[in-house]
Amino acid sequence: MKVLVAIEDDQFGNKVVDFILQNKWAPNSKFKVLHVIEPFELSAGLDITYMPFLTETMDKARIGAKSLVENLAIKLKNKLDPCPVEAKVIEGYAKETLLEEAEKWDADLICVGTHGRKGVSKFLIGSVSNAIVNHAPCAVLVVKSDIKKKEAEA
Amino acid sequence: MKVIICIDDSSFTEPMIKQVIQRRWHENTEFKLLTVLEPISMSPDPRMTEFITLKREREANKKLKAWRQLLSKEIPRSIVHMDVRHGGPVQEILNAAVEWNAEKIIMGAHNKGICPSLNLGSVSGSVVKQALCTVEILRESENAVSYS
Repeated sequence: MKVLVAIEDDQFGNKVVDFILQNKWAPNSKFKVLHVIEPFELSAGLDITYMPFLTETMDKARIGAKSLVENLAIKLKNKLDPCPVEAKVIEGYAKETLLEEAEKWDADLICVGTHGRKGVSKFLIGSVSNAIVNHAPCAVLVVKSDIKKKEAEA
Repeated sequence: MKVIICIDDSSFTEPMIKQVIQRRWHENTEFKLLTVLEPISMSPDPRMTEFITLKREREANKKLKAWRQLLSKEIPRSIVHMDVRHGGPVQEILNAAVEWNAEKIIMGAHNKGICPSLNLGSVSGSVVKQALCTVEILRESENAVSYS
């Protein structure tokens, strides 16, 4: 089974990985931890003088993303050995990139996390998770944060 | 782990159960096969409504028993429960998950139409959004094996 683990940030990435580790996997399962860096779009108010700032920010984002996926991949690898675990960072638009990667890699399952929200927005999941759930060519696991559960219990 | 498997009358139930069986599960994983029967309002005669409701419930129980038997056989040392509920599917699935303290809800995506991956189904879509626990949406795979 090929499992694509789509990671948004450290907090929810850890939740997804922890849930994956609660499950039992066939020894021939393959995991790919993936983070997508979305491009910074220059708005009308930003001129060319912002370019150095944007380049620096993108560089920082690349370093952060690499460290994020590698740390989570190590966490998976330590518990799921001998299953191969790959860490990957791609630049692009999250929804399209994740779906393309799932299709290209022939994933059997995509794991995504979703934020806990309050009020009306509790009836929504993130737009990336929503797009994946709706358009994925394979099964999708949506891991919920504890925030929602705690809120409901309160 | 406590897992709810939502069973409806669609043709995807069998491939969905097959996918569940193909997975690896820890010993003593508890499954709950859940079917929700939506209320009928077709007959003005309450006795007829009751008769039909009972018949549907009996039929649902029969089907769940068959799936329970298969799951118990194919996933040894698992515990398989059955639950037939009456009401709105979304609310009853969410209620069942909270009452049973489920850690995961497994549902099928209804692959109808010209673009199969586009149709999630309104029940699955609402459960994904509102559930407090993790939800897994299964889709029909090309390697499906028939158990019938």
